[in-house]
Amino acid sequence: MLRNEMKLDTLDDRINAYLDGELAQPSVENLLREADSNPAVRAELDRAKSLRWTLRSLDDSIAPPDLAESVLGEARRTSHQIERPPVARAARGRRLVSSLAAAAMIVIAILLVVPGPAPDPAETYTEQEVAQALEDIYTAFAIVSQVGERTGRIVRDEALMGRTIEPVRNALKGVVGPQDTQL
Amino acid sequence: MKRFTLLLVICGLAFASSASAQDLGREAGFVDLASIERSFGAAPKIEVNVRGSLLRLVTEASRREDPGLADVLSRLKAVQVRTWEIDASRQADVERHANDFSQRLARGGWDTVVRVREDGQNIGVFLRETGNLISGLTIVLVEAGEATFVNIVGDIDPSEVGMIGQRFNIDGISNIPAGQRRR
Repeated sequence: MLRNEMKLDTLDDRINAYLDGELAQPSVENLLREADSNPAVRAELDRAKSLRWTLRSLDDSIAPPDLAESVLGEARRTSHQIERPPVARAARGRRLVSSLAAAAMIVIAILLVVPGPAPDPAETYTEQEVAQALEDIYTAFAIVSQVGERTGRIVRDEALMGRTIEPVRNALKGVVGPQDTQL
Repeated sequence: MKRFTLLLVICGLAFASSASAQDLGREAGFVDLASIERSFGAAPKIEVNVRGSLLRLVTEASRREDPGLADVLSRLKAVQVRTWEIDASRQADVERHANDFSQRLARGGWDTVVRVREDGQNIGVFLRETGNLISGLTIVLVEAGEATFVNIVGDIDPSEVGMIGQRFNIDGISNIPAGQRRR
């Protein structure tokens, strides 16, 4: 449903209506013409698009379904319900409301994002991939073992003797083989 | 204000998306092998990255067949391997990069357990201790025609890793299965 454009008296309002698909086609064209000719309008439009895109992207990534949209919707509803202050204070009031709404969305978005557990991609691994990972780990461990064997004599004769701390020496016994760590 | 808040949102999302990588990066035993990758300027022949949910899946998958391995894996946070083939013409360059890498490890608090430079081999074994625990093992191995880097992150007992590795005969490090593994 198209909004009552008589009430769309600020650029923010028109941009929000445009992004919501609630701006009449002639007004859309006017807005886009303004954006083409006025860098400040273009910047504001791009900023709004970015913010909208960023918040909506929460849907697909971390936030529970529809939560980001509901946050956005609530912010919009709150914004529309606020009584307009006297004309002299209107612009400053709208900026304050807009900033507060944006700040609230940001705080909520960050709270949603930061402490929440990242999506566990475990289910995306196939049995074959898990088996391959196990084989890769075997390979890594075999390299450790072989390097230990190769360096065992030198470890015994030069490196371990008096140069490494006890826990390391004990730990290395397995790597280099007991036969090589008869210190 | 609006730009600042938008920046905050974007930073929050970027932070969240990289949180798991940062978590691993904060591990004392973790080594960012990307630094050595840049030195080679080419994709590794073997690239193994087993961590996070995949590592947990592997752990659980091996629990019935090999409880000892599962126990070791349950205390690990990542297993990384990179192997490059080296042209003879680049051997000296690679050895220099390996030495730089080893020195960075030493400066970064890793214990140099053993360094071997003889018969065309350049081998380094490094351990990172946190408190009384070993929290990382890194191996640098450069030999004719090949360079291998291994980093195992977590509460690691190298003796266990070595003993497990001994069970998997890879018939020499140069004969590591050469699948192009990327994970």
